[in-house]
Amino acid sequence: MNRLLRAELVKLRTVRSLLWVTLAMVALVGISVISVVASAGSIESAADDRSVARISAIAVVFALMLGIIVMGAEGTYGTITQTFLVAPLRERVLAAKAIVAAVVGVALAVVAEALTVVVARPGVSLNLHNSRYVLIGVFIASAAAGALGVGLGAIYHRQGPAIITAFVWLLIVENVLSIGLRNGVKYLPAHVFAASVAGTRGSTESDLLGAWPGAAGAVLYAVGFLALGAALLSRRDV
Amino acid sequence: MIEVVDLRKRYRSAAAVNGLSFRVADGRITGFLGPNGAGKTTTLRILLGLVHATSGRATIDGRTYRELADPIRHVGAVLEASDYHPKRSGRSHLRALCTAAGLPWTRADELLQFVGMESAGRRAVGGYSLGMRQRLSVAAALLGDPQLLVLDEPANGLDPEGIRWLRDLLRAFAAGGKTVFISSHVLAEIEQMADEVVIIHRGRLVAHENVGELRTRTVGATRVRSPDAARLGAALAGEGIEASVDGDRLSTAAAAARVGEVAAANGIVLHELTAEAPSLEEAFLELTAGETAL
Repeated sequence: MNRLLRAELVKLRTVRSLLWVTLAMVALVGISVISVVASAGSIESAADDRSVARISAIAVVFALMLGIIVMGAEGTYGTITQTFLVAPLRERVLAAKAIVAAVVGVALAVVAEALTVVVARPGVSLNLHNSRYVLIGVFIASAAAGALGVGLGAIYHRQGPAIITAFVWLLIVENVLSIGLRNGVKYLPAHVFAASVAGTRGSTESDLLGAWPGAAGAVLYAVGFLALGAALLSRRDV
Repeated sequence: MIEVVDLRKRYRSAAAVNGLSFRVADGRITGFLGPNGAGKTTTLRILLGLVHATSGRATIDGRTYRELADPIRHVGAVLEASDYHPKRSGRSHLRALCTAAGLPWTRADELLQFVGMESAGRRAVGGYSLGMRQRLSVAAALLGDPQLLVLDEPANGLDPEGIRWLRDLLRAFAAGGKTVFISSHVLAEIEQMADEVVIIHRGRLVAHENVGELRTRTVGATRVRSPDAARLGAALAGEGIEASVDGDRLSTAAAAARVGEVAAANGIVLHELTAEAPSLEEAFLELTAGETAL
């Protein structure tokens, strides 16, 4: 497994996907946090602290994309053939990719949080104590999103359709479903991930779970997508 | 030893491989021939654990590919030349494989030098020609210094110099007591290098023989040029020998000596009498009659 983990890191380092994803995330987080600092005077409540800290949750979306690329690009370019010739036990390959995507997801979270804190702490007096659960939640959600992305990439076996599906789900499908599901909406994947980075306890009136159930749910979704991806990958002819 | 036993693969309603069985002995070069769609690539991919068989088995030294420990140290495979990330360099591609296989990165550089791509190896694969990709595929296949090479149409995209390079490489590989199993549509290439051939057609085994034996099973042709070709054709027909006449040319499956005797007996002048030895291509076409598109 150690060899496969290192091989996945070599693959990531030797193309520019990671660089572009990181730069795009830094740009988006940077613009968002600078906008907040420029428009707000200073933070007045713990809820405001959490709200500003949640800008770093942008990392979750980019971790998801990167996870999809880690797995889906192998199908898109056909390199999965040589990967499976070296390591024919496909579940191990998927596990290695999921671990690497989760670790890279955490790394993206570190960058996003560092940028948010560095700009917002002096700018709007961001209180780290008040926003600590948000920051922890972003770590967990980014790791889970990276692994989930690998599962999604394995299900589709192509990066393009997997990325499109993820965004269509996040931007359209889950919003449409939320109209009919009412209270059940809090268990849908985007809402579960949102809960994990909310840094709040949740309530019966809220359409989000609490932060810890949300984090647990995000991990469960990642495991579920990976299990489905592994089942399809092991049966697929490549 | 490669062993394929009653192998079957169905894609929806179509059978790509249909009860195929054969063995490939160690230390030999074995050609794997068949018309397009005969099931060669599917069979090779099943052997390499990339495609799942519907039934039957394909093993290497008694084990499936998935059961081999460190498989690239046993088997090197050259498959499609397009299976590369276009933005990754050839060298980085080999290094990633080395890492996954527990080989040192110096092995990647050695192989790049071996296939004549030490400088090109630093460039992104997207800029490679098909021939360069094939060389890179060969380098990847040799990384683990395997005992068996499995190649699917490796001559595709290679120029004549590249084909010669590949032929010499495979001969040298086999000369070391190692095994080569190669599919190709370039029959002349297979004829020059293979010890034996496995021929399949519509997913079934048609022939598995030594190349020389296969040739002897095939009737050669006698070609004649004569100003009196039509009369010679009639004379041969009178002797019960079938011949086709086209202007001053005649061809027949009968032996050249017999054709010469008939011509002499009838006082027919011959400008040319050529006995053509049977080729692997003729044998192949006879065995796969009706499916000649290669």
